[in-house]
Amino acid sequence: MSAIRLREVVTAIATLTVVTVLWEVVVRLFQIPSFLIPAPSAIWQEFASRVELYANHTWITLYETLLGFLLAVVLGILAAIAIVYSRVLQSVVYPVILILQIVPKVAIAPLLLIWVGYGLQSKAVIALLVAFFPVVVSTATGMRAADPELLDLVKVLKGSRWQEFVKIRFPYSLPFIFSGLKVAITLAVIGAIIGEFVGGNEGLGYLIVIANAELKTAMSFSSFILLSVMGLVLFGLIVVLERLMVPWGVTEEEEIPTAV
Amino acid sequence: MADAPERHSTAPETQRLSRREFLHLAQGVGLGVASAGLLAACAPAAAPAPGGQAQPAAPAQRRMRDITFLLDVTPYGKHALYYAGADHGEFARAGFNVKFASGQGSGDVVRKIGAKAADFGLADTSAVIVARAEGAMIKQTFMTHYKNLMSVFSLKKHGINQPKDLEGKTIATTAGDASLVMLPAFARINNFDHTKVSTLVTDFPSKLPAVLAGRAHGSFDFYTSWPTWVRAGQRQNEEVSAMRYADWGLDIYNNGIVVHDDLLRSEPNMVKEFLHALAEAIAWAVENPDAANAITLKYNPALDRDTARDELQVHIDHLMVDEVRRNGIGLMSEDKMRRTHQLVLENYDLKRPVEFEEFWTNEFAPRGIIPKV
Repeated sequence: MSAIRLREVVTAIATLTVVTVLWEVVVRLFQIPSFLIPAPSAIWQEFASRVELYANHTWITLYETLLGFLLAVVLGILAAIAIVYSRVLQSVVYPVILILQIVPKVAIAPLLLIWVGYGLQSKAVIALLVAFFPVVVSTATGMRAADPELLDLVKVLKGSRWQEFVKIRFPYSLPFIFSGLKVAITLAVIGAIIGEFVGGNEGLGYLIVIANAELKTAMSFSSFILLSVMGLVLFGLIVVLERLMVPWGVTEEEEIPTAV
Repeated sequence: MADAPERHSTAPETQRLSRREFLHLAQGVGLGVASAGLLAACAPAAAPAPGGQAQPAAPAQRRMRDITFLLDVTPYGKHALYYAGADHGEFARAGFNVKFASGQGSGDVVRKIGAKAADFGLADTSAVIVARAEGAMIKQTFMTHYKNLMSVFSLKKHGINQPKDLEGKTIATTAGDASLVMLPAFARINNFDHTKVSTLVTDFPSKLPAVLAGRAHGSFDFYTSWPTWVRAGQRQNEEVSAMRYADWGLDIYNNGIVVHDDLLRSEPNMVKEFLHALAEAIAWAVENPDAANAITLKYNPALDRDTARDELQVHIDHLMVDEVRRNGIGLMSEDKMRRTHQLVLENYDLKRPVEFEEFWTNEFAPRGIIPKV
């Protein structure tokens, strides 16, 4: 790791530690009741006493997120190819995708759960719906960003559409696709949680709902700390993958999207 | 002699805005400010709060005390008993300007009262006990849901007619639902195995659709939701049936008025006066349910008049029990409270055992306000 990265990491860890210590001190000093804010020590105690429970539910949410995300990637890239290569498909598919994006998933989640069921699949579907749009848009943009001179070169050399795609358009679009993937993975986590908030018996979102109903704040904090860690790790994996697959075009640090 | 190549400095150039750049910047800022101003001016008028403000009937010279009253859930028919005092004048005559807000269930209400975000709240006694165990210093001061409203609604075709029929069925519920938490106690009293009952956790509005769509056989609900179920069943040509815990041996206190300890200590007379006014308003509403229902609809025009009236009737039926006819609205009996306390201790995973005396009191409720019905 370079010296700069190391310094960034150390600063981040130091900041987190200071914040945690301050939080603990404030809660104890002002005797803040646990139903308002739990102390970090209480959160740790809650987590440590039921590690297996949290591990199981984290795995469920992770599974829903990954399933939804992978479907979003496959379907998203296919949709983008369709949009870029066919004017007709573009005018048909693009409005539908836009409408899907604008409808708030929080509103249709209850209906989806009734149609699809209350298990893992419906949560993966919501994750898919939420992660789909960024993948499509970034892939389509990337494919259109190919250098027009190189595209002309392919025509001059009598290359086929397939060769044009594989050799020019797709490699050019990879940096864009990855920026879309970074957005999509974080949205997929949010989508899975929305589904769990609305119904079902498993997952970190379910734990948060139960904890809120019983005023068990340490439990809900443990759950969303785990959720954040999960999101960060997944995001980090995409960054690593990008470095491996697109060594020539690593983009600057992206902002983490927060809206659904 | 060839020109030496220009040396480009690697230090950052000091930025001096050119006039063109400055004008562009000023344009952008001006446009932004103008848009923000336009947006603010066109903002839609804030929608009226679900409760709305009371119209004080008292003479202008009396100083009114502002009160926030937190309903347990989004308003519906049963809340006529609480709205009545605002429009019929009991609150105003006692010097109170009551503003209504909605909580998201008893768990949310006890948290808000515990955090002093509202003065009075309507919440389940079990939620009060759980909240005290978690450090919220609140008390149940006035009872309104005397007879236990916990029930299981289901489609008649699934044959849930007695408690034992619950075994092997899937019942829809919200997280932490009181009826669900009390299921083991209900099972013990009625000799069936509660572990053989599956649950489907979902949000409140989805319970009825989940049952109608066949995802669950039934749903845990308060009996005040029965009128909505009956009508929904009629629309779908499905017969619906209800099984009330109270009819099968589990009768405990449900919702009442919750207040923070500090308010009880600092303004005991204000609390007593408010609860007195509330009891009078409730008595009037029980004697004049149609008029009371009209008040609810005034604050919540989207409700269906007939359904709301039926829901109000359910609340009235669960309020007018023997002890109310004897002692008046609001007072709680020690026997029943002990039973309630005991069941909560047994069935909830409390952080600490809450003492019997610490979560409720009759001290602030009025005496002898009995509706003449």
